[in-house]
Amino acid sequence: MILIAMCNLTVIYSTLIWIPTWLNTYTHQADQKQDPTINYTILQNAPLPSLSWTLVSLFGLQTVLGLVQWSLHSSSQANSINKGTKKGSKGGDSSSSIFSVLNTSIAIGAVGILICYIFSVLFGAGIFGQTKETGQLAVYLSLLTFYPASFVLGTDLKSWLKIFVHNSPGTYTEAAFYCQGMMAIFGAWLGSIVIPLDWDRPWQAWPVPCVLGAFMFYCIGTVVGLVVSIVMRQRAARREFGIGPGTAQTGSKKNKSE
Amino acid sequence: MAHRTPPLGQAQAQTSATPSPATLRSRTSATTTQRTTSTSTTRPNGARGPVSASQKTATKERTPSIRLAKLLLWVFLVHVGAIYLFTRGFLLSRSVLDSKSECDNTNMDESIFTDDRLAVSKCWYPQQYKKAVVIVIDALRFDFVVPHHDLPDYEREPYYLNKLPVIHRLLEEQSDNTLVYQFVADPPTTTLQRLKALTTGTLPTIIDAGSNFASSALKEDNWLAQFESLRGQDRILFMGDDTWTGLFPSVLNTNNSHAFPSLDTHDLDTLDNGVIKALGPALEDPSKWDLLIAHFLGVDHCGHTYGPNDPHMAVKLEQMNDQLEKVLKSVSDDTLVLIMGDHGMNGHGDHGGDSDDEVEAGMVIYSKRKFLDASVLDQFSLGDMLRYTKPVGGNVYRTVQQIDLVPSLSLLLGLPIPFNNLGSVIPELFLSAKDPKSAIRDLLRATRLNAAQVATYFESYIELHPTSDIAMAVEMEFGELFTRAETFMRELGQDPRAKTEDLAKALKLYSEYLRTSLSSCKRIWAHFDVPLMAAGGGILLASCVCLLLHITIYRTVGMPPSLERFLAGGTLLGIALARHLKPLLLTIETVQESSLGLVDIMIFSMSTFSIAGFLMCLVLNAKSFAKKESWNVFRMIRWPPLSGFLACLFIFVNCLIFASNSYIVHESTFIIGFLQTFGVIGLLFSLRVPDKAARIKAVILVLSFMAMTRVLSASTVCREEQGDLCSPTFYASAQQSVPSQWSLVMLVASGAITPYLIRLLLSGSKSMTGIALLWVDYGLRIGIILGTLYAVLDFEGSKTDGTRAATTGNNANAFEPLLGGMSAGGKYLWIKTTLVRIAFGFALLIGPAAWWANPLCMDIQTVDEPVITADGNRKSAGSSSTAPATQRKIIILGYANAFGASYYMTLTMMFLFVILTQKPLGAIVLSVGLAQISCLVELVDIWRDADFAVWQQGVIARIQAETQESVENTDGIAAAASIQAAAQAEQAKAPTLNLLLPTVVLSLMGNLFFFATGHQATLSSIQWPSAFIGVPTVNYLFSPILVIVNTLGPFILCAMALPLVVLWKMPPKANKLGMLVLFPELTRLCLMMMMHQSLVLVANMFFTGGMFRRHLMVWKVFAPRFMLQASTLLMMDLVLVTVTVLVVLSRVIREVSTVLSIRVV
Repeated sequence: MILIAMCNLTVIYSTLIWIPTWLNTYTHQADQKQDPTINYTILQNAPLPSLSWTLVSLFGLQTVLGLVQWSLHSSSQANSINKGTKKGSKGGDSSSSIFSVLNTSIAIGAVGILICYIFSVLFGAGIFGQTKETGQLAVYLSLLTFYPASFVLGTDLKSWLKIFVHNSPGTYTEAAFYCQGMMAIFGAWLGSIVIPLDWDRPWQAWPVPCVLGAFMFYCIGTVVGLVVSIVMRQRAARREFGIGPGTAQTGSKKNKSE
Repeated sequence: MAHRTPPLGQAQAQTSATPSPATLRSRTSATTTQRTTSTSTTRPNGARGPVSASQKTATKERTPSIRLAKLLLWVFLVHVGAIYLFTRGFLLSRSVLDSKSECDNTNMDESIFTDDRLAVSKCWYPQQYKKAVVIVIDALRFDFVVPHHDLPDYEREPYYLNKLPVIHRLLEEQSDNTLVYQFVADPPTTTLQRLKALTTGTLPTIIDAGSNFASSALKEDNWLAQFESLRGQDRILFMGDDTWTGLFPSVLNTNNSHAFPSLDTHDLDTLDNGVIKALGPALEDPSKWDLLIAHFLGVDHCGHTYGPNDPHMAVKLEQMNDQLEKVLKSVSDDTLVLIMGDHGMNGHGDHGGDSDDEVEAGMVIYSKRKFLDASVLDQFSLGDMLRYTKPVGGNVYRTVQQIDLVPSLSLLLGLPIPFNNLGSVIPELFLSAKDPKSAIRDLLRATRLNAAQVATYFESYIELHPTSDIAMAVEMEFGELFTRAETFMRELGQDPRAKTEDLAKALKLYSEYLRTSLSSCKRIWAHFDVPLMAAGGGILLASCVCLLLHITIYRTVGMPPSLERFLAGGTLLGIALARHLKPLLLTIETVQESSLGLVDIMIFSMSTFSIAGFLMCLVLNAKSFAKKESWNVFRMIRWPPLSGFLACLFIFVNCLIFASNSYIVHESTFIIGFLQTFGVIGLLFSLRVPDKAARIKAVILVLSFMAMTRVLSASTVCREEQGDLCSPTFYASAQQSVPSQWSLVMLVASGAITPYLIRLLLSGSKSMTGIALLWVDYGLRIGIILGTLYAVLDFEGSKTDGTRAATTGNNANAFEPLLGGMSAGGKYLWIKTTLVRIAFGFALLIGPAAWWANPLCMDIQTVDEPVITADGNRKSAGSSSTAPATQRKIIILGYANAFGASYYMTLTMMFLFVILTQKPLGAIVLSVGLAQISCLVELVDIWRDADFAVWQQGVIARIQAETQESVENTDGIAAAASIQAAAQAEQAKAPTLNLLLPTVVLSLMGNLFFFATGHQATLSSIQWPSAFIGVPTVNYLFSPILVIVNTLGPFILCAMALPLVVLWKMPPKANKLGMLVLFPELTRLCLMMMMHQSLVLVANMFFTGGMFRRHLMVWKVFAPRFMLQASTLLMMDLVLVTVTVLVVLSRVIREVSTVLSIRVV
């Protein structure tokens, strides 16, 4: 049983590692599209078409990934329920069809877009001007944070709060979402720093630094999430195996210190 | 312990509750007894040790606030000293004298030249040339001009060399008619500064402290204005860079100039092509002008874009060559042609600094008349009047100062030399006569006029500033040179046949005077005094370190016991040792060059030694600290909590802003990043609040905080560097400085809402009693209404004033004459003035007086309620008085917010004062700002409660666990004792919410409000009209105060709101020792705010004075920001020391503590 769970986990990890590579190719394409246009046209219009393509492809990718994760998650949940271990305390029902899951997560993604939009306006994006650019950033951020997480978390507000507000993701997937999402938002925040500089570079146009920052930190977040998940898994495995009372104590101590 | 009688103010007396004083007294006495017993029985444990120590020394109730004020005062004084030192080194100010030189007044006895052949002089010096053509090629470096023949073969010829063959040809073919100079500019080598120097002959300083900051027009005397006044405006023709028209708006207007925007042009050719287009016809018809100025910008743009060594530069210079050829071909005999660069460029094509390549421009003077060779001067051993360059391209050229052009050109064109000029005439230009002897005579005449003008300038400067460094230098260094020369000249007497040798000697004396005076002025005005700057910055940094140490070490103690003594001792030691410090300092080589006065040394040594005293105190106390709480050291080092970390991060990033001019320019949009980050973190905090009602409230508060931040940041005036990225919203339009109509409508609305909101806020904690009833409902409301009325009248008045001429015929509006009469100078002006004066009276006299008499927002209610349901419905006052078995109960209304509400009253008074000085939109902004401050303090309170609740749960859980263990082990009594002990031990470690983050946020909010109230970190954004609010004519006491409050009012509000972070809804509940520990936290917060602002200033000083003092933008961006930051820091310090701590805080705390009989430490 444990072996099966570990297999599932490794599959999830490998898919998670996939994301950055895919994203890389896409944004590279985007960059290549950007460069010639920028040289010959006015700065602000250039990154838009390529970014929209990135968004569409990212949407598709995240959907596929999310669905895979959802199926894995539900199967592992089913496993755990079958097994009767304590882990099956999730609210989501595993019997729902793919389409209902897709519907909910798209809805959540839309809400996420709205939230991201509001916050980027609060952080100083134009209230009336440049709505298209801000919208693209919002879509991008939502695709990196809310949308993938929604496949697993669903409409369960409590677990959303638990993970993202109380900083205590419970399972490995949650930890991965947490790290990725937080890092992506942090990256977008960090990216905005270069905007006011007077270097007049094409990549300083409004949403580009934030998008790039979010992307880069999303990648870092993926790696961090991976590490965290591995650590968590090892700890859990140790606890589950029950190697000795001493190790169990150290494990609980570590938990406390977290 | 004598403060027994509770002073019951009028509000309490009004409530006709006769038994209340007695009961109150009994209650207070009960608490006192409890306190005395507790102090006698409980031994202070480790953590409280220092408190009890200070308690021993403290004899009076009010001591803590006085001590705090002393500490803050010391910090303030150190800041003043540091800023003074730095400013003296950095902001070298030169007063602009508005006097103009006049034609018929040379202050000279010219009789010696009366029978000269040039005697017919209408003005100072006989006119030599009727016309002049001035061609300015921006960034024309010296080596662009002169020929380079002997380039090594292996080296490819750089693109910028030998591209002006027309000049080379002139040098070869018409060498007698051509003079080529190396033209040395003074840094900063930026076009605007250079044009100023080239027309006025002055040296640049950071601030030209003239009569008018606001406009960019040049007010000093200059040859362009002189030319206009003598020959008329239509004789001038200008084409090129619009910097000129900005400088001389009255001389160069659309009739006679073709100006092209310089900053918005990004290509190389637009401007030049425009100039060329205008230049052609002008040269064809020289009768239209006497003075032709053409300013080409392409070379400079090319340098900035591509660098000097680029094919574009060759193209550009060849184009210039063609134009010069055209010009030189067309000039007539009585025309003087000047071709010059205003500055050079460095290897990257940029300029602004003081490197050789940047200051060395080229100048070519050409005339159809022949100049005498300068070697004639050598005959009379006057050769040292001339300076030569190092060989450039194989030849040696003459080098002159850029400002030397000013007197030369003025005299040659028959104009008086501009009043402020410091340059000296270029000798060759006056050696036009055939005969060497009369040539010398001409030169002497010109030089003498020049020297006399310079001497007159110094005279009037000293008259205005008798104590300035210039006055001292004139007295000590060069004043006598002029007198000597004049005496010599007088001795030569009337004799027109004076020997040439004597004339040469006089010439030598005059030119020596001119040279010495210039170099003295350069030393005083154009050199940053690095040692002084370093001293100022260092002291400020050291004080920041002190504050940081204080904040981190004295967490639980406000101040170590005898800190003041150390500080005072250090200061006295500093005074005593100041004299001995000077020789010590002078041993350092760099210090010797600085103009270090005794006052500077005194300040330096005082601050240094008092800082040393502070550190000494720290070290001495550290011993006792280490003994008592050795664990504290480790706790200090551990990773700070998230909020503390964020506070540090904010400060750090805020400091880094000054590393780039872009961030300073866009600071108004950048600042909201901090506040919104705080908002997001705050949102996370708030979502973690355990109690549901509080959580919802907190989330709403945070979201409204963020929304308000965003709304406020939308109100802005733009500075020109922001360009398209900013659209001004503060005024009705970008070109006007009148508020828009809708802002007045909103002002009326916000004026109506604000008192209501304050009421709502205060009644949340039942504090809407006592003084608050009177002030918020009447005083504040009336004040706001009057202020609004004033703003409306002002707006309508200014509108009618503008359109009166148009509408005099049909007087449709009956109010119009009345409103028109209320504008400046009208007969109904007094109405407006009186209105706003009454409002000021409310804010500054009536309100504070009433508050001082009775500062508390507390009230006492007696309630008869049944004994049985004692704690059922306490608040339903007197509802059940009919019940037979009742008990008289006393409810203190506003108890929960006893400190906060009372303090808040004074904040609203200050708020009223500040908004009265603001423009309408500024007043709205500050109303929103007050709401934001209220949000912040409410939030802090909710978080504090939540923190406490979480901690309490933890403690309870732990104690329960421990008791279970102990119950298992021992019997009940011992367990109970151990619980008590554990509870006490935990009590000592009660969590204090980290308030450093709110403090930093509050201090950043000051910046936000500053930008939102229509200010920018530029001198031109100061709202001068506020000087006349309530003061019809300028008044040298009130007008500056009004302008200062208008500008720094946002910071004043934020500094004043600081104690609210601690005091808001802090129940005045004493602990077991009968004390309420407030001052450690208050001290930390005040110091934190000071540290934030002063660290920002240190960063500012470091980048502005240390790294970018020759930066291109130092005058435009860095220096104004530095001035803003310095005045902000001083203002915040001052407000914290005086208003916040000394007046308000001490009064509030003393009053609350006497009434409720608690001891606040």
